[in-house]
Amino acid sequence: MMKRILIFSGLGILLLACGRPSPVRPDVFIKKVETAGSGLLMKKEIANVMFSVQYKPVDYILSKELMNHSLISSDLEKRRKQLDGYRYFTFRVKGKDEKDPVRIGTLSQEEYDQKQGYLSSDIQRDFLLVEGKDSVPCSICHYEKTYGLSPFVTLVLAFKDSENRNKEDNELSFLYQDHVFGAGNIWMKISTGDLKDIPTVNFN
Amino acid sequence: MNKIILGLALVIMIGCCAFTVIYVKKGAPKIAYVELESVYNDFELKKELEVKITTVQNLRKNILDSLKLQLSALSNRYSVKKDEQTAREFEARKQEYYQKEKEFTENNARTSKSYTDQIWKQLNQYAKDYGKEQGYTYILGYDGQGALLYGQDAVNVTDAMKKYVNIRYKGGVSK
Repeated sequence: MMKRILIFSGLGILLLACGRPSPVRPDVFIKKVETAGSGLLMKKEIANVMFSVQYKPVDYILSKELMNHSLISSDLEKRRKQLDGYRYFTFRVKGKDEKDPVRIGTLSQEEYDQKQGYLSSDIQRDFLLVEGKDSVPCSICHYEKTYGLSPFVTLVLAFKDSENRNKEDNELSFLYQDHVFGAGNIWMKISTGDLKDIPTVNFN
Repeated sequence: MNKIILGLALVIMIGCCAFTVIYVKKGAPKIAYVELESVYNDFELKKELEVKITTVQNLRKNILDSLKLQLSALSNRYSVKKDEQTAREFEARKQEYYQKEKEFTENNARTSKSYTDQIWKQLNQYAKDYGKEQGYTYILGYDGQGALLYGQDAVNVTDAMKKYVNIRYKGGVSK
């Protein structure tokens, strides 16, 4: 009887261990997060405009900073504490013709300037993160200005953790209520499975 | 000898038939149709924007109703007093009312057009993606205007398309 219990316990532990992704190196983690197959990079094309959202777990930001030497290993935990408490995303809009997407449907320089003004500040209130029953407004929004030289618009976003963070079976829904590109509401979703499949990072 | 020739002819004939069937099947375009109005009306974005525009329009209507009420009160006052100050005030309020009414009408039309454009942009994109994913050569739109007069129920993919566009709109991936 005891032998059976031991065998089943052993099998159970083995199954649990198999279910959890094993820790990976920071460079491998970055690649994994940036792959479309991970479900953490979401894309949606509407009428020749490509919207994409990259979810950036804290480990991803730490890995990036370590890889580009803006962070040293000894400061890792201190930096983690600074970043904890938020969910981070990079939101990007790209026109298919490789031109400044803000110019799409823009008739005058005045309208273009108005759109640039909106991207610099007011756009923040048009982002929402839905987790379970919680709708979280965007807390930090930074527009990377390129003065029309880049073929895409990039915004770095942060949303405060909701009470439902890390609760079972909660998917993440990202909403942008578009006022610039004429596409309407842009919803993108990260499934529970993809959130669970995020591996841990071995920083040693 | 005759039996051999007959057998050979039979084999060639069967071969030709099989080739024709396979070729026609492979080359035949895959066509389906959707009831456009139904897909449009059941599209989540359309429903959301409809609620949004109705709320704004009702708020604007309330503002106009309030102005109208003030005008009516001023008109009553003028019919009793017949003074110049009330007449001036009435005229100013009337101008304000007409200006607001014009502004709201134009704005409502602009917003409505912008919302309709957004809905069609997304619907067209999802319909295109659906067609590609399902391997259709054509998906025709039935709108009751005569462009498509008849389609068998077997090639009516309205329900599947409705489901697909709403999943895609909410950020999901079709399975």
